[in-house]
Amino acid sequence: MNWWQVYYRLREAREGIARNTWASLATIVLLTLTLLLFGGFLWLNANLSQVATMLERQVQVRVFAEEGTPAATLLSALESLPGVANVELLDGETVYAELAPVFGQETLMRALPTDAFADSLSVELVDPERGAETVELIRAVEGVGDVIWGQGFARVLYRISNGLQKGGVILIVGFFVAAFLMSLTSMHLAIMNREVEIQIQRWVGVGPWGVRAQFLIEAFLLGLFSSVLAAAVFLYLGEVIQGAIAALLPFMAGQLTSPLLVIGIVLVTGPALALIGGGLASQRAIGTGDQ
Amino acid sequence: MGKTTLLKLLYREELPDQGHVYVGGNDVTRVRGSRLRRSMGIIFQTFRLLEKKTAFENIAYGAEVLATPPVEVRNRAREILELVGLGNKANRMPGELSGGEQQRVAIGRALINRPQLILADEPTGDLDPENSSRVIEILDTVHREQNVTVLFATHAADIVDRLQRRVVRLDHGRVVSDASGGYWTGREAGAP
Repeated sequence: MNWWQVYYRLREAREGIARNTWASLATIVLLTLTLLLFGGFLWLNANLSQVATMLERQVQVRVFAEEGTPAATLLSALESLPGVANVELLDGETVYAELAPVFGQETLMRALPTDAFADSLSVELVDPERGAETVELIRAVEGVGDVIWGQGFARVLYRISNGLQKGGVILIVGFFVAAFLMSLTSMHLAIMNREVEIQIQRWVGVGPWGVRAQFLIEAFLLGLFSSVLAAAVFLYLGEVIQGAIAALLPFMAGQLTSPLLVIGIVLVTGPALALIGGGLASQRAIGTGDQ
Repeated sequence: MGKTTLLKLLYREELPDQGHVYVGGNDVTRVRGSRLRRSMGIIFQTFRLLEKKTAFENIAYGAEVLATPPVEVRNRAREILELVGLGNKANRMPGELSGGEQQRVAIGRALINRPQLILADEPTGDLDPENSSRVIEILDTVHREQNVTVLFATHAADIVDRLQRRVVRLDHGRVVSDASGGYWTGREAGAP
């Protein structure tokens, strides 16, 4: 393909889009919406993973040692209990260092007594649903002081976020397929509308790939417009949503996944899906053999 | 096998079930369809013009899709518009042209890439006698002045008689005569 060919193909693709203004607009709008929903759920899912990780920590059991008993000495006793998957020693200073940037040093010092940052043990349960039984066993261990658990709300949220995450994956796949089918259908219609053009090209000696090039470029441009639009909307909404979440849930600030990665995925997905759709539609209509 | 099928075999729109078809000494089954058609201009009974392009653009389109540089396309399209007698209607849309004029645009499109062979399948089938004469004149001029072979498929005896060229007569897919002269010259003695 030489430069004139590229120039003519681009011109024909542009004219093709302009000629079918309403059909092209409908394709762009629908593809943009689908990409927005696709990207939205992708972002939601990524953030739900973060939330789920945080909540998972909440459903773990926090064990404090009795005064005078070093927390580390309880480690092996707790590990041997049935229903315990893993035990981790949490250094009080590390916990403080993690929380201070989020809530502010002064707030933490005012709100929490000094020993809130004593060394503790984080116990991961094999089955959080049967946690109550395991917690009773932990409380019975000699040297164990406070045991913090029973955060029912966190458990419910954990279940919900897990459910949403699984549902989100299905929705993401669904919107992905919808975006693909949309580009396939619109290119199929574009090809059907230009049957005479295709015939003329064949009569003057354009090969199958030459004929397909115009439709591939057209599909790529439609996909690109759609994904740029979706990315722009997403960039704006992403900032707004992130701001709102940070204001409502300060502990989530800095934990949210940046929308930039999702925007990047949307920018690549739109043209890629449109190209595949255009390629398949033109293959069905034009074929690949040079008869 | 009719004349349209014969032409389709020549431009490789269809492939023969048996036997061989040669164009310019090449077996068409052994040549790429696109390569073969670049040496041809094809004209049909129906004009098959692009409705949203002007007469000039319709003619130019045939060269543009083969990536001919724009300056060359413009010059050649203007030249051809004059040849087919539509120099003053370059910017008319197909809907603003008569049937005969539309067919002349289609001929122009077939000529834009300087073909060695023109395949014309009943090009006057939808035209009145006056426009038919004009189309025949153009094809005759192209044949004489540009040394282009024109294969003109028709069932109209008056056109064949008027041209007085080599006539190959087909009957149910078989060549029944091949002679120079008019329609009647090509007929076997005693045939109706």
